[in-house]
Amino acid sequence: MNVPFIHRALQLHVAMTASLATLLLGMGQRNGDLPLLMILAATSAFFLTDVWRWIRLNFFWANLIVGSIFLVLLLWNITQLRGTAQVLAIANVLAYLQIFCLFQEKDPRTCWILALLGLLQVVVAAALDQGFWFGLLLVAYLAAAPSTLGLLCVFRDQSETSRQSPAAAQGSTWPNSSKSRSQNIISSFQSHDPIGDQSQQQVFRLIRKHVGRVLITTLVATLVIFYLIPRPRGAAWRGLMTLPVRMVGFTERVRLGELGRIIQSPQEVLRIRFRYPGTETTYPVEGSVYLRGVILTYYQSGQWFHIGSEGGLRLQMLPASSRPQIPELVEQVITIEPMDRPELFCVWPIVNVNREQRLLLDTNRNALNRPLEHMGQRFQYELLTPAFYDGQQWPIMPAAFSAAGLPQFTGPPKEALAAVYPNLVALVDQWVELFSVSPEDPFTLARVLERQLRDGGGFQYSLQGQPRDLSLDPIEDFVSRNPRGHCEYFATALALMLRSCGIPCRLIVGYRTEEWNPLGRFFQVRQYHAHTWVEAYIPISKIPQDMKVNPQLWEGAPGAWLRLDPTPAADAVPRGGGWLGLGHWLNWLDFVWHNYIVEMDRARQYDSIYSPTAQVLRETWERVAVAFPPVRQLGLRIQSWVQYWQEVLNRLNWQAALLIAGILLVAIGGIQLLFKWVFRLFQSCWKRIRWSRNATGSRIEFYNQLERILGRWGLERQWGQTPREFALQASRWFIDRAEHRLATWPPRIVEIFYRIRFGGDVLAPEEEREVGRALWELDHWGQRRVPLGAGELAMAEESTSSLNDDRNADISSMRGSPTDVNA
Amino acid sequence: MRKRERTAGDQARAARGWWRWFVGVRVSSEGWYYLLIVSVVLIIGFSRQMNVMLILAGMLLGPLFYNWRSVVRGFDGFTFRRLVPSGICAGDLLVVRWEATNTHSSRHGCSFRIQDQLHLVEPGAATLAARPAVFFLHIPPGKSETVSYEGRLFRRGRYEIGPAVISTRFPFGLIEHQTPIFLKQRIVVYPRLGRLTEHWWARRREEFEGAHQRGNRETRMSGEFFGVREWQAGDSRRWIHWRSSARHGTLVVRQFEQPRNRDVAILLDLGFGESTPTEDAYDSPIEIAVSFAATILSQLCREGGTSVALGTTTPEAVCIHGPASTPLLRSGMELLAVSQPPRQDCFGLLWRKLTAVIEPGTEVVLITVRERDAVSMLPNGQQIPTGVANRQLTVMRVPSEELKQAFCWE
Repeated sequence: MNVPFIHRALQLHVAMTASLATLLLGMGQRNGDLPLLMILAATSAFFLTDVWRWIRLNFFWANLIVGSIFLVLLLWNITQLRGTAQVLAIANVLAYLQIFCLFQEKDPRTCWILALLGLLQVVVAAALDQGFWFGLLLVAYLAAAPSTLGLLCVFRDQSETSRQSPAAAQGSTWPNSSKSRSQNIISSFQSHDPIGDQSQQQVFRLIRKHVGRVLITTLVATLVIFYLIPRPRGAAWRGLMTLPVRMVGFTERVRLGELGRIIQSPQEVLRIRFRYPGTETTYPVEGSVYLRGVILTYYQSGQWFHIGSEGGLRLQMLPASSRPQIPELVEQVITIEPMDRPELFCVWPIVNVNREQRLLLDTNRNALNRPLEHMGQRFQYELLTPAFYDGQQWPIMPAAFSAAGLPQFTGPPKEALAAVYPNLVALVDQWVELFSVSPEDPFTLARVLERQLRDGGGFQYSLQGQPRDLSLDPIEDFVSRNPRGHCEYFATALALMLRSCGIPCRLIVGYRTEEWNPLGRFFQVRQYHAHTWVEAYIPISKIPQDMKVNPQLWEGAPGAWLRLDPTPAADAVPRGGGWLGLGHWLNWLDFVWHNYIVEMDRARQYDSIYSPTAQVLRETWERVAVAFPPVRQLGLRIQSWVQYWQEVLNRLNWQAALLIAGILLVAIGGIQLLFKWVFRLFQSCWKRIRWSRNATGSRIEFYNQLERILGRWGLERQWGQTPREFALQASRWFIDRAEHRLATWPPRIVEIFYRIRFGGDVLAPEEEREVGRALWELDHWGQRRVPLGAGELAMAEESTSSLNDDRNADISSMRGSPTDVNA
Repeated sequence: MRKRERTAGDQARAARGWWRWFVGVRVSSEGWYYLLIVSVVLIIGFSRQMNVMLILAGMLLGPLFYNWRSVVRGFDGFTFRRLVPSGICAGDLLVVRWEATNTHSSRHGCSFRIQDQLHLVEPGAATLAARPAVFFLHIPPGKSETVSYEGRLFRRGRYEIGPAVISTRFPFGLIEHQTPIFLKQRIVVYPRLGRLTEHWWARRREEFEGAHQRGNRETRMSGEFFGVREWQAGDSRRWIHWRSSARHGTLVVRQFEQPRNRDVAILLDLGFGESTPTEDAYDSPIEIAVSFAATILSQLCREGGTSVALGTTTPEAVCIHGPASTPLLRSGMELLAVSQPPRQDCFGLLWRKLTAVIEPGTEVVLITVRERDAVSMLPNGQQIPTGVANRQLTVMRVPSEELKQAFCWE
C-alpha cells in the first residue's frame, strides 16, 4: 500500500518522540528498562504496524482494555503509593499506554494521543531529573515534538477533507427511491485531488524550517525571560530523584604517590553564611575561610589516616548547649548539597545551640556527620564558632586538651624519621640553622617552616600527578627529587617537618574558600575548593600574647592549635572552565547548566545577571558622564528619582508591585490606543482633504470617459446599476457583436476603477497605458461598425457564449469571479 | 518598481485594525489540551522554583505563539476563487473547483482548508445542505493551485453555493484562523434527462407525418455543416470535431443544418395542490413528467430545424418559445428545473398562453399528471385553437403504460 509521504513521516516522528519522551522519563527515574522497552516497541510498531501493516490493534477494544488497566493501576497507585513513587507509577502507566497506542492505526486521533502522552511524560521527567544530559535531550525532544505537531496538523487537515463517502462520485448511482428525498437530495461530496509526493516533501521541508526557526527564537526568548524575571525567595528545586553528588576533592584518607590529574570540579558542595548570633546581619569575613572536615593523625608510607578509623565510626548526637558568654561569637549557617559522604564541614571550634537540628559527632575523628537519611538531600545546619576575630578566621585556637606527648600527634622520634626521610630532616635542620630559629619557640619555628614551603620557591604547586621513586616515601621523593605536588604533599611535608622538630601536629582535610557571593552574602564552596592543611599544637606558654585574642577563650586552655597552610596560595584555586578536550567542554556545559539553569535562584540571578549588567551600565555611564557634563547632571537627577522610587518600592510587597506593573501596562496600552486613534483620525482627515482636492476625481476620469464612449452606442448606465453590472452588460453587448477583445475591456477598466476609487490605490504606469489603449480601441470601434438599436441589445442578452473565444467562455459560462477571501 | 498587487486581504487587514490579530482566531481542541499542560507546567515551575519546568514551559509556549502569529498572517497575499458551472442535469457529476493564488514572491502557503456549503434555495423546500471541503496542501510563491470537490445533486432546482469558510492551522495545529469568504454562487440543476424510445419516434411518425417523412437519428449527419457547439450528453462521438476541441480545450461537436421539421409545443401540466418537493420521491409522477418534458425539449433543440414552445407552471403559468437552439434549451431547462404544481389550477391560463404563441399546425404534446382526459381539463367554453386538432394533440399521462413505452431513464 502506497502511504503518502506526510503520513509516513508522521509515523516515524511519532515513534521518535515517544521514544525520546520515555528516554527522558527513564533518565528521571534512573531506570533504563522502560526507555529500552519503548524504543523496541516504537521500532517494531513502525515496521509491523505502519510499514508492513501486520499488526493493528482495534482502536475501541485496545482503548477499552488499556483504559481498564489504567484505571486499576491508578486506583492501586492512589491507595498503595505515596509521594514520588505515585508520580513515577503514573508516568510509567503513561508509557505503557503509549506502547499500546503505537500498535494502532496511526490516524490523527491516535497520533495526537501519542504526542500528548509523550508530553506528559516529559513534564513528569522534568520534575525528576535536572541533569545536564537531561537538558540536552530535552532540547532534542523540543525539536522533534513540534515537527510531529506540524506533520499531524497537515495530516489531520488532509484526512478531514477527504473523510467523505467513498462512493460519492463513482458512477451515476441514483439513490433508492424508497428513501425520503431529504436523505438523498445531495450525495456526499468528496475532494480527491491527488497530492504529489513532491508537494508533501516541500511541506515537510517547510515544517522543518518553521521548527528550526521557532526552536531558536523560542530558546533565546525563553532564556532571556528566564533570566530577567525576578525570582522569589528560596532555593531552586533540584529534582525529586536527585542523586547525591560524588565528592571528588575531599577524602577521609589521604594517599600520596598516585598518578593522574586531580579532578577539578566546579560543582557546589556547600554555601556558608556568617552572621551575628540571633540576627540576620551578616558578619563580615575577610580572607580565606577554612572548613574542617576530618582530622588525620597517622602517616605511614604515603597514607594518612586517623586512629580508630579501621574500627568504624563512633557516632553520637552533637549535644546542644546554651550560648556561651564569649564576646565575639559568630553564627555559621551552612547549606550542604546532597553528597555521597556523611561528613559535614564547618569552621572549628563549634558550639551547638540549636536543639532542633540533628547532627552526629564522630568522636573517633572529632568530625561532624549528618544523618544518613539526609544524605540524599540538601541539608542545612547552624553552629556558633569563636574562630573569628576582627573579621578574620583567627589562625590559632585554644585546644581542649594537651596534645603534647600524645603519640598520634607527635609521631616517631626524630631519629626514626631521619631514617625514613633523611632529606626531609636535613632540610629542616638546614632551615632552622638558616633562620636561627630556636627549637624552644615552636610557634616561630612552625611559621618559618610553613613560609619556607609556601614561599621559599623550592617547591611548586601542581595538580598533575608526578612520577615518584617507588623505593622512596612519596614525601621524601617530593622533598629530595621532584618538588612538585598538590596541597596534600605540602601539608604532609610540613607535618613531618614539625614532628621532626618535636612539635605535635595533625593533618586537616576540608575546604578552603574565598568565593564570596555579594548578593547572597555567603561563601560558596565547590569541589575544587577541597584542601588539606596542618594544625600544630603550641603549648600555652609558647604562644605570643598578641595571638591570644578573646581572653575568655583561653582560660584553662593547655595549648592551642595553630593553623598552618604551606600550599602556595596563588595556585591553590584552580582555573575554571576546561577548554581542552571534549571532557572539559562537557564539564563546563554541565557547570553552566547547573549554575545558570537548574540552580538559578534569587541570589545567583543577582550575582550572575543583575550585578554584571549593572556594572557594565555603570561603567558606560561613567564614561559618558565624564565626556558630557550636562548628561551627568541629568543622570544625577534621574538617579535621585530612581532612588526615591526604589525606597518606595522597597516598602511595597510583591502584590503591590504586581498591581503597579498591571496599571502601568494598562496605561501603556491606553496610550498606544490613543496614539492609534489620533493617527487614524489624522489619516481619515487627510484622505478627505485629498478627496476634496479632487485628487481621486482626476484619477478616475478614465471611467467617466468609458461611460461617455459607451453612451455613444446607446449603452447608458441605469439608475441603481453598479459600474460592474454596467460593465458586464457592455461586455455581453460586444460579445454579441463578435468583438470578444473589446468585450474584455469594460470589466477590466471597471476593476481598475474600483481599486482606485474604493481601495485608495494609484494607477500604475502600465495600467495607465492599458486603460488608454482600451479606451482608444473602444472609441475607435465606432468608425468600423454601425451602432445597433436597443432591441438588438435585448436580444443579445438572450444569446449564449461563443465557443470560439476562451476569454468569452470564462466570462459567460463560468459564474465564478475572482473573489478575495476577505472581501 | 512595480507596485505589489493589493489583495483584498490587505485591504481587510488595514481596515480592521489591531484586533485583527484576534478576529477569527481560536485555539483548536488540541491547542486547549496543549495550553492546559503548559499552564500546569508554568504554575508548578513558578511555585516550586523548578527552573527546568520554567524552561520547558517557555519552550512549549513558543510554538503556541508562533502558531498564532503564523495563522494570523496566513491568508495575507492569497486570493481564492470558486469556479462553478452554471447548470448541470440532476444526477450528473458536479465539479466545483477552487483556485488559490499566492501573490508572494518568496512565501509559501500551506495547509489551507476551505469548508464550502451547498444548499437548495427553492422556495417551499427545506434547506438541505452539504458541506464539502477542499484542501490546499501547498501553494508555491507566485503560483496558483486548483483543487476541486465533486458530487451529485439528484434534485432539480436552484442551489446556492457558499459562503465558504477558509481555515488554516499551519504549522503546528494549535491555533486556528477561520475567515468567511462571502462568495455566493448559484447553480441550476436541470431535470434528469432520459431517453425517448423507438416506440415514441414510431408513434410520432405514424400519427403525424408518416414514417417516410422523418429521418431517423442517423440522418442528422446528412445536413450541411454550419458550425460547432459544445458537446452535450447524448451526442454521438462521431460528431466531435477534434481539431476544434483541441483548440478550445473542451469537446466540441459539429452542427449540421437540418431540414425544417414540424413545430412542437410541450405543455407540462403538473396538476395543482400542496406539494412539498422534498417529500416526493425521485420517481414520482411529477418528476417523471418534468424529466420527460426535458428530454423531449433537449431532443428537439439538439435536432434543430423547428420551433419549440414550452408551457409549464413555476408555479405560475409560464410559456417560452423560439427556434430550437441551445439558448432555448437552456431557458427551457431552467424553467423545468423550478417547475412545481401550482396551488390553484391554472391549466386554462397556461393553455391560453401557449396557444397564443404557437403557429397553426403545431404538434402539441401534453404531459399531464392528472387522471382526467386532456380535453376535459380545459375550462368551460375553451376551444382547442385553430390548427390544433385532436390529431395534432398527443396526451401523455403520467404514469401510464404509454409513457413507459415511450420514455425510459437510462
